[in-house]
Amino acid sequence: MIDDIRDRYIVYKTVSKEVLKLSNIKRIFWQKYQFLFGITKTTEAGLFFEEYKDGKGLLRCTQKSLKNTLITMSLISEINSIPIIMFPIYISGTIKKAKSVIEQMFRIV
Amino acid sequence: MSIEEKKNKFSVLSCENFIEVKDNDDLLNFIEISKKLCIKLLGIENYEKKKIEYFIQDKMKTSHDEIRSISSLFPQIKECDTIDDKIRSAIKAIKNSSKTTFLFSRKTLRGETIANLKDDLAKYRKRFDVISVVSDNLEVAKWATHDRRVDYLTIGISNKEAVDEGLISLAKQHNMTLELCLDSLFLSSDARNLSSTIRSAKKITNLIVKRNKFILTVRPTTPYHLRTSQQLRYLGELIGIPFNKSKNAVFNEQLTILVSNLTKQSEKYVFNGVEIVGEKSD
Repeated sequence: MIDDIRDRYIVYKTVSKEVLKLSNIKRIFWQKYQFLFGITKTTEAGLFFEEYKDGKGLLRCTQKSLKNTLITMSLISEINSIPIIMFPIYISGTIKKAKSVIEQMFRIV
Repeated sequence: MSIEEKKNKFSVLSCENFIEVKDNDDLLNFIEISKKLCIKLLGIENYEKKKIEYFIQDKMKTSHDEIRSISSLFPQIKECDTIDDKIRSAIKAIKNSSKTTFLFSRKTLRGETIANLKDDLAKYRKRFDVISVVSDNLEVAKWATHDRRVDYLTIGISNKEAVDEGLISLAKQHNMTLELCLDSLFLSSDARNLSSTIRSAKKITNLIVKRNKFILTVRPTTPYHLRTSQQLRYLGELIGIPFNKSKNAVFNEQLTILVSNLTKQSEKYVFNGVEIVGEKSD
């Protein structure tokens, strides 16, 4: 029997002194994940950065790797020696709901 | 749904118990970042109650940011009868004041001998909201567990020699809360360092998690080391604390201790569970 791989969508926010590019965030995130959990776990994580704008973004991962993804997010404290906080706001099982949350957040701010 | 309600929908109450700041400007930076992360309670190391009051008065003159000391909750909680009601009303008050950050003072006593610690406790207890003890000497730590003036026993997760089974058992007997500092996870320079930190942290948490009350703190050196309550719980997972066991370790336990310390300020307070309810008739 083939197991269904379920995805989770993490709406996250970054707080930093300077505006950071998504490419830098991606690089550091992948590096940190690999550093903590190894190459095999990283390949199973299914990480994909969907959207990023004004310090708010959407990150996809598998349900099984959700915990590891959030641990990695918590341990990131600087990117290119710029201090940063990256924290989850909302976790959803569907991309539709996650995107609606991002839209709501943009409306609020 | 109003904008405030929408914002509250995504925020969970958080507390950072152990902030060491250099000066008032540094403290303002911490407050600014904590507002973005919805961290409602900030424990400021070495800031006396009076110093916090002066800081808040100064700040209120120049800015519209709402900062209050934890003792401002006293009028709301003093009317409640039981400690549970008091905590509930405190949580309600904190939730209602969505833009406000509450500050409290704390002092960490580094007792080298029991005599030193006794002197320090007598000197500092009334000047600070929270008193914590950290010691590499196991005898001193064991003595501190049964002193009612001590609120927390602070444990660095990389220092497994500072903890043994006897200490943890004593802490359980005397209902002492243990404060786990996760700062070494951020400060570890290389893979070897981090790996040894996680290994020793797992040994400590194995002893603690099943029986003892504990709280998690980052002990941030910069405002960018602050973490939300959810993140603290996930960091706890990394060092062997199951997610569902750390629910109270990020906000509720801290608030419970603060509320019980506030209750002691009341004139009617006699002892834990004993209060004067009526006037004595001749």
